[in-house]
Amino acid sequence: MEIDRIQLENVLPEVFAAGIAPRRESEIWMLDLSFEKGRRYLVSASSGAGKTSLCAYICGIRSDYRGRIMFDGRDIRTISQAGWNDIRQSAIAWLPQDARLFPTLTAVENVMLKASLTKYRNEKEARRMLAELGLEPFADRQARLLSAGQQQRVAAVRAICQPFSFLLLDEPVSHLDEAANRALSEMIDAEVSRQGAGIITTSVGNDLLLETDSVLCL
Amino acid sequence: MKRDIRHRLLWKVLKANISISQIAGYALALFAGLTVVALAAALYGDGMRVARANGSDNIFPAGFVVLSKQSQSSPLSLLGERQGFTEEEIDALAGQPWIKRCAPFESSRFDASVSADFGASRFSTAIFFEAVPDDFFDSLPKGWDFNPSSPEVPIILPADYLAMYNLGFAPARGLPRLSEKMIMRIPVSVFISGEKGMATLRGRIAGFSNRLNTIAVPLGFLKWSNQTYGSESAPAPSRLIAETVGGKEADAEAYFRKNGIDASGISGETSRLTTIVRGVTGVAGGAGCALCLLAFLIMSISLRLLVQKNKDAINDLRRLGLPAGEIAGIYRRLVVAVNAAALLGGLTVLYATAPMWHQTMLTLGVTPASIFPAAIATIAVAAMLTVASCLSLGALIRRA
Repeated sequence: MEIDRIQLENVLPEVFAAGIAPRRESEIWMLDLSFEKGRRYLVSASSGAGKTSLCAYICGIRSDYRGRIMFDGRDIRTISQAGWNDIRQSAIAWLPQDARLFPTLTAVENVMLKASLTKYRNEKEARRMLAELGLEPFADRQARLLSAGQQQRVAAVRAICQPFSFLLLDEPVSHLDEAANRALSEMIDAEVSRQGAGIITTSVGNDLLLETDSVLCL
Repeated sequence: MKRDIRHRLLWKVLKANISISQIAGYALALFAGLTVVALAAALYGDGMRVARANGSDNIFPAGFVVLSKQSQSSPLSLLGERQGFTEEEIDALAGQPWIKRCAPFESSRFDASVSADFGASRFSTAIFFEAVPDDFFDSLPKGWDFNPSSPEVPIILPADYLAMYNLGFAPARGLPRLSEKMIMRIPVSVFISGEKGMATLRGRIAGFSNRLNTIAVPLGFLKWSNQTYGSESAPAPSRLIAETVGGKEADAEAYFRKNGIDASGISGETSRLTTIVRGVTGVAGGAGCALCLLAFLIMSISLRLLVQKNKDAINDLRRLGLPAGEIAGIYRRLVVAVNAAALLGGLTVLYATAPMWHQTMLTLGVTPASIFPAAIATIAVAAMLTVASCLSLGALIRRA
């Protein structure tokens, strides 16, 4: 499955609409805009502006917003659960801010759980990718025993172990030093280029070392 | 292969928070429930056989009854008017749900007597004959046929006749007491006298019946003798033989009472016994089902708690694109495995204990019922609980 365009029409989180959280000036909320496949977007904002909410809306995990989000013209609120399973396996990859690894699985098992579902990578490739990010010694260690930075890199490898039209990266390098950031950026750049996909990255300032086509302030 | 890897990894993720004590409690309750259901179902089948075997014999098995109109003191009956069944009454009876089949008795339309010689003494009595179709016999007595070219009349007597002879007639006349086997070896003479002539035929006692309270001869003989010697007018049949559906004795009794029909072969004791068996096994089966339901509730609560505790992991799996059904499948395997173990335990108890009471039944001369239907009923209960648990699991995962 492929998605060429993600459109937002007057989208606003309920917390802002209801006045529960203060609303600020934004280049995304309450506007009509599109994210195109093949282009790279950086969504920059301070804490509390709704970066994680935006990712969760696009991934279909939350729907507490007003307005409409559409994939190639289809309102995502009309997508069935089976449809979302398909989208999450083959169209939209997501690296959550808090990694969301399974603590009882090892690093490589976390990757393989996803890879076995998408049939996109085998264990040898998963181990090679982990090694490229400096995680070879930790590949067989349970995720709960890894540092936040190591977990973030394992989660990144897991995120790109699938075909995708868009890669959503929610503060992907918040726990990484420059060397780790560079290694991860190169891997993501290569994979996204290979798949001709789009990237939507959120950041509070510590960005991936990638060129972007568009920077939007949330 | 990839699916196997995924199942292994999913189990590793989802086995967290599984309470062994809760699962063990559930398995124990289900095992107890299924065992009680299995034993109650088996005891029902065997209990009904014991109850219905009461008063049966090897010629007419349990379930066969002889029906006649109750005697009424009307002027017509005093004048010899026979109270027979009309065709409508026979049709109404045949239409009852507890009747498998019924047929009228063929009666002799001539005078008859039998005599037997015991050395110096002679025994003679007037007699009448009746016949029922051969297919109503469970097993035909030896030589139960009639050939006009070499006529010998086999006769079945009510067992009470032998008792009367041995306890009353024989001592009073100084005649020897006789066993069934002995009397069946004594040749008897059958004297027939009707509108068209008379004849003396050879006869023999072919057997005794507790349930058939008449003097029965083969239908072939009676048709031949009625045609050859009897009167032309055939009265309405005064007696019917019927096969009843097992376990419906109480319904049958109520119908007979209401319609003034006497039924021999269906004893009040049989009816009471079937009611008791039905009541006791019904209560036991109900208790077993209640235990199974209790076990199901324990499992439902355990699964609900498990899904609640693993809610984050389940949601994270769904964010990866894993179908809810595949996630539920991991817990379904657990449910199926535990239920199968409980079922196996219940069936083992059934197959281990049933031979004990079957031995007692065999010494009473009652063939035990097959355990198979009881096993099938138990498997059905276990299957229903398993399907219900699996369906609820799918809903729980989707709502997590």
